[in-house]
Amino acid sequence: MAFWTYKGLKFGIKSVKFPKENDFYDGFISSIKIDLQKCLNLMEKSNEPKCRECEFVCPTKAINLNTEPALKVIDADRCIFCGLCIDVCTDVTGSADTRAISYTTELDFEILPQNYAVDKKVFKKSLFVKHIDTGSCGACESEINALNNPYYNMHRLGIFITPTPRFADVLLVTGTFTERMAEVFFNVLDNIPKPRFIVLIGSCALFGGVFEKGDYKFNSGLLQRDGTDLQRKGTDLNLSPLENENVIALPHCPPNPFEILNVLLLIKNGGLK
Amino acid sequence: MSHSNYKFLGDYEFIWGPVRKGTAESILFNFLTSGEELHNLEITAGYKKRNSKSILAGKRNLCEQILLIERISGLHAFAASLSYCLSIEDFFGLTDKGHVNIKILRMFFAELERIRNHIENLSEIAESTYIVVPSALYAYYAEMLKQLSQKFLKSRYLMNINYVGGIKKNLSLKDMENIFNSVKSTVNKVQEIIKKNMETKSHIDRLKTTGKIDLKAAKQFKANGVAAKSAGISLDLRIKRPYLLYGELYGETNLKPAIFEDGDAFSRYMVRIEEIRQSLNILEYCYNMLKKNRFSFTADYLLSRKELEELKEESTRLQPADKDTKYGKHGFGYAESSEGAIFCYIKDFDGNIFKKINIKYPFESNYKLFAYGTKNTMMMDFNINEASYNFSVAALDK
Ligand code: SF4
Ligand code: SF4
Repeated sequence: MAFWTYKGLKFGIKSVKFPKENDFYDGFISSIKIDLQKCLNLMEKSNEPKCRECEFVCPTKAINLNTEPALKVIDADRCIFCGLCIDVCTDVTGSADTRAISYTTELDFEILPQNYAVDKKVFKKSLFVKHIDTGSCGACESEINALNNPYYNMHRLGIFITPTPRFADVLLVTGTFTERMAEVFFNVLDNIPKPRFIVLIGSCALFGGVFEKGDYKFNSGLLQRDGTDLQRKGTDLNLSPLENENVIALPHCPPNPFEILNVLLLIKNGGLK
Repeated sequence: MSHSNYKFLGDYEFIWGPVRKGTAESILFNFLTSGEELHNLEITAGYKKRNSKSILAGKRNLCEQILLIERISGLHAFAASLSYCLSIEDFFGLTDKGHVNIKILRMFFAELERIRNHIENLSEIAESTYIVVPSALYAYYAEMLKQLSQKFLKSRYLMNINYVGGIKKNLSLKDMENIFNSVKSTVNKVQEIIKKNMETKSHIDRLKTTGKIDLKAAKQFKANGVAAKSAGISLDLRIKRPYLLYGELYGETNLKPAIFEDGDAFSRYMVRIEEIRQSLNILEYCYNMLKKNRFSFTADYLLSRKELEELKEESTRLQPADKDTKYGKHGFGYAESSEGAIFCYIKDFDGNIFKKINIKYPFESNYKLFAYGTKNTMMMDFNINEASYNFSVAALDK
């Protein structure tokens, strides 16, 4: 055992400096952007789009070329980074230099605080996080787990995962929100004392990701639920699962650990509104 | 729950799940225990059933289907998409037409996924025996592999890479060299930890004899993957029914299947360690073959969209006649993932997608085996035992 203590010390500190510095690793991507100067439709605005390839190819309907303002043509919250639009854009425009769509490498994504009631620092000390899987593929869990490894080391920032909802400040939700997990979800949620936050992790939890069926019922995430078919046990409430809750939606499939950490830090340090 | 057959005086039941510790996937365990000893275990899955099959049938094209298949179990994304792509290629009669370099590249990434999953599992096992430093070190190196994947393939979990007839990411020989060298140095460091860990008695002792299954039980429950290999059964598809270039590989190099006899957590641990070593050898073989075959860019071997369209058309034309045969026209493919075989059987191509896709992961039978193997074991060892199987609930629930 003494050997491992020695070995651990010798290994030294490998953690990133984030959030003090944005020292992301090589190849880190956090968003997708369209270059208005290069896109065949957007460079000279006409009523008839000349090319709709990316819009057609996107598996999650993240692209709508008619969106105003044009900067929001790609809804980054629905993007799963499959790269299909980038591939067709390269095909259409002829080369990687001329294509209009590309990934961005800075920490650059929108988080969507919903129903936000608080704007100051709510939690004075450490932040305790409970996780619930409502039908994920396992990759989102793996990314949350990664926050415990020495590279991200979220403990250094005073954020901990707790096994019980009673001590939790934040509920991390992954997965598509399946029918059988709905009741369990409310059970866990009701056991978390207020003030509390819900963070929806990954495209699945937002809108179902690649599993989306478009009927806004089960398996299509939580953001679009109105709750009409959800009955909370023991009550006659017919609430949308997110009503009156502080919700943050974190897109991508799976979101990078840096992004998850960023959201947890924003909650911990306040200043989200 | 049918605990009654196993109940001793003083035994009590308790349930754990579906929401469990840390960041675990949702599954329910119902224990019958005397406090220290576990007498029976009932496992209830299905909480996260996403009905992938019906959603797959509603997709617009093969590409979308592949994206979904990768996300049935994200940690086995490459093996699953490979299995599906191989079955599509089988359906279209492309199996022998693919360029040898594409086969090599696919082997390369499949082995990379295996190495990453095994290292992550070593981290979990170390954690379950409370030796935190090695656990953290393993986790760190697994993270390095994910970052490497992100850098070269734009996906930490090797998603969005496989496609019918090839792989989608354009890589040069230089890239492959960089990937290989980084993996090699990472694995070498991991092997140092493994070596030192072998001398950590408190770690090894807790693994030995834990969750022991014998050959008979392994056969009865149709054990698969690592669990089978640990009990002396070799079902490794790479050797038994070689696909891609594995046949040549196992002929040329003297790689032997990773087989252990004891069927305990330690054997499963050893299988993983041996497979990490072998996979690194396979990566080296792949890299050398690429050099030998004068590989320069992946893009050289990609099936163009036009070619694929032609194939699809041809196949739709062929279909009606074939429908008269007993099973109709179908495709079959498989790949050995880090946890065992992933089989894929497809049929009913409607010109855009396959309407019927049966994909089978190795976890179903392993869960039954696991429940059986926990009888009369110590509650204290439950975590170690579970970690040593490295289950994916997502793949079980689909
Ligand atoms: S990367 Fe994929 S999901 Fe994202 S916008 Fe492009 S096509 Fe859509
Ligand atoms: S968002 Fe993507 S990575 Fe996360 S659980 Fe869903 S499919 Fe998996």
